[in-house]
Amino acid sequence: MTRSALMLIVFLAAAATAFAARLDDSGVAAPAFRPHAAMAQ
Amino acid sequence: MTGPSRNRRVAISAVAFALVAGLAGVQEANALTFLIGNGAPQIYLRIGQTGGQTPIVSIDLSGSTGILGNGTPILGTAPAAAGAFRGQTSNFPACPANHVRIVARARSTAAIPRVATLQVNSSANLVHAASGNAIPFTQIGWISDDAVDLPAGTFTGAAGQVLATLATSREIGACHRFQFLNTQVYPGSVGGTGYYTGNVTYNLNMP
Repeated sequence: MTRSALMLIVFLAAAATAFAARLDDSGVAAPAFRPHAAMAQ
Repeated sequence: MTGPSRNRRVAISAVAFALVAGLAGVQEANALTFLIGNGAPQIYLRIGQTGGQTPIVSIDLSGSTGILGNGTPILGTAPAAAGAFRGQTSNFPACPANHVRIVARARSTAAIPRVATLQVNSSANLVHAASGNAIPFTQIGWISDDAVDLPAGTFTGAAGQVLATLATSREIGACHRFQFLNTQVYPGSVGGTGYYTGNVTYNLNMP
């Protein structure tokens, strides 16, 4: 003899609350030293 | 001369937020077990609304960003009908606001006593549909007005978490208020808030 009941949980998370580790790869492959520019001087 | 170097920055965004007024109160510890008359085997289970309605508990973090992840529970809300007085469970009064009424009843004959078990299945995560991000139900718990029969607890994520056993012929009930345990931070969706939804299923079984 079994009886079941369902419960729904709705969870609203704000994006601004997230501790999201965001990698910024804008500097990838950018040389730290530019030999040609140095030689031009 | 040096070769190219990789310049990688890790930005961690944190937001300062205001503490939500503490709504969690210490509740009275009432044991609400009722002996009921023996009779032909019968079980009854109420979770929230009656009449086949599914109670919906909502937990909104958007006003609690300042305390996210610090372990301060964030209480959920529930519609009034989820905790309302109903004639089918007339031994129990209406619950306080935002609580979910739970009642389990098991009856058998005096000659053949039986034991009923109330279980909950929380094995399926809360899921954010667009991103696929998930929150396990182990992050959801509840406070209770009954510290004996249906005390405060936390979902274990198991399919068969036992909440109570009751020997015939008895009826137990409690008001539960669900809460996010807030021990970890979960992302919302990109550029906005994120809705996670999930179901738990209560099961009363009297073999």
